[in-house]
Amino acid sequence: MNLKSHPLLVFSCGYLIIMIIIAIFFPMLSHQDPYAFDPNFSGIPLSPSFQHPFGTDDLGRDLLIRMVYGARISLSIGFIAVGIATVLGVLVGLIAGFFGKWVDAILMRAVDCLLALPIIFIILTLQILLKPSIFTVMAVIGCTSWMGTARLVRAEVLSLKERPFILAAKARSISNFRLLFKHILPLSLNPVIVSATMGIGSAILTESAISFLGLGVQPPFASWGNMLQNSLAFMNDAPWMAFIPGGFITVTVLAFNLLGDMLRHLIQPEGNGCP
Amino acid sequence: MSAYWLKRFFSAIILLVVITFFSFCMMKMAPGDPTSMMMDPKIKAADLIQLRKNMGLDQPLVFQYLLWCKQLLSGNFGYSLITGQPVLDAIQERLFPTLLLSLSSFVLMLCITFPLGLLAGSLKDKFIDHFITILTFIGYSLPLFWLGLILILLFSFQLGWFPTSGFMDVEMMDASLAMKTLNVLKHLALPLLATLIVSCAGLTRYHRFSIISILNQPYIQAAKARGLSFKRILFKHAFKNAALPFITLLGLQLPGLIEGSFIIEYVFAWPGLGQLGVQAVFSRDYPIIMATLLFSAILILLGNALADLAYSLTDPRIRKPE
Repeated sequence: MNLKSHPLLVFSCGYLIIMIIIAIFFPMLSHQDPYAFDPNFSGIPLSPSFQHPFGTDDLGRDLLIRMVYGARISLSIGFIAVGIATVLGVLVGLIAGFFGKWVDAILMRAVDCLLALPIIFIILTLQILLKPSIFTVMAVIGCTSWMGTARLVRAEVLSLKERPFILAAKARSISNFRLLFKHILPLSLNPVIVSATMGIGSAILTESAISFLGLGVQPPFASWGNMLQNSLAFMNDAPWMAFIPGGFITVTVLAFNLLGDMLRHLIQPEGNGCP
Repeated sequence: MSAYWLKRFFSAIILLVVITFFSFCMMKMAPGDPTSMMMDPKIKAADLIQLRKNMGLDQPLVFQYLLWCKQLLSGNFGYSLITGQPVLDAIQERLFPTLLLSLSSFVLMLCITFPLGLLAGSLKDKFIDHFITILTFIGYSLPLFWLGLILILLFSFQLGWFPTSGFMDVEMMDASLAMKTLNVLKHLALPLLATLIVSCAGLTRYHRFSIISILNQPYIQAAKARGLSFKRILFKHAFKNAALPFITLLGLQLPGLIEGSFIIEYVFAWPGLGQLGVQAVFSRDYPIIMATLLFSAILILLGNALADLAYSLTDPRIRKPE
């Protein structure tokens, strides 16, 4: 593959790799405490300067440092939430597609139920019933976004199950468990990879929305969403407080979406025409 | 045909029952019950127990649920824990702004997305296609609430063209109908724009895919072989078939629109169902939360059913022979 003909792929991969490296290693090397603030600070955010390239917030905390720590939290929420969603979705899809009949009927009705609900509202409601924290955000987003994956996997399993090699495996009286996880699962993962990549983007968006509403990651921890919530009071005087986190959310989500799209082209080149 | 719709109707009812049952259980998990709001020190403990008994709160969960359903069916959705207003009234006064926002964005979405998708799909891999694709990717990746904030910052604070939030200015209460409408439209502009930017992006992309796959069909190849002009092929032959999946796609956008309304109505203080729901979450007003969930679910199911209906009306292949 010629990298020059895929500038967007180079951009998204490069951006994400740099982002992840900074998010992982910067806090290990830096000695600055992102949560410390100066109690005597004027309360007026400082605009970007050489000392603070992204400016500071109203407590005098450097926004660049907070963005890095925010990247840690926002990205890990994205990855872990999608991990949970993918495992759940693959399991439900495998079981529904493989066993069929009433198992399938019940599981798919459950999927229909969840799809008929406004998920963001369910997440908000769950967040007030549980206690908002980084871990509940991960769990709640993961548990409410597996339906698409389940449907994809189920469709794959339904078509795989009719193939001769499965019949051959069955003729060797292989156990259902082995059949499912050794023979069917690996072949049904292709669409999952694409949807998981894009899922990371939408998980980051969801996290930022609920943190923005104050029901996600709680201060003093910084996430890109609650930094935006912070910026609300200073919209007019300190617009950089809103522009910087929002811009990074957009570019990061964009990179994940572009990557997912490229992966789709690479994995299913003939499926260019279908969404 | 009618058997199909009957079946669909019943499955929607079952879906709603399951949804309400689970959300009912979820709410019961929450601490406190309606009587804990009546914390009048003068009420004796024995009276409180009697009160709980009268309200059926000492019954098993399933029974409480059935009781709640019975009240629902007679139009009693309970009372807001905060304002004491009947829930149904609160919902009713919020329904019009929500429908105004979502229906107008729905119609505009249709008008914008269809030509854009057609353009991008028919000129695949040309500059204009790449341009539209990049735009859709960016629109798809924007956080909706942030977009709302940026629009407020730009159009309200900097340019002063549109009001920052709300539905209608207070001083307009006595103005003429035309002035009122104009005022509401001014308030509508920004939330509408934010919703449109985000929701058009995804839809354009899907529509582009369906145009591309239609243009790869053998009958289009045959039309090309007959030497028909590209314009004629596109508008005469591909157009109708492209409209069909578009209807389904529009139906699929509905949950997204309702989800978006929770965020965008909150950001713009638009007095709709979404804002009511988010406020209820903040104040832990469980009767309102349940009613919001129920109404959103009904709207989504209704939208899906309408999309299917439109599909079966327009596509002769779906129509079953009588």
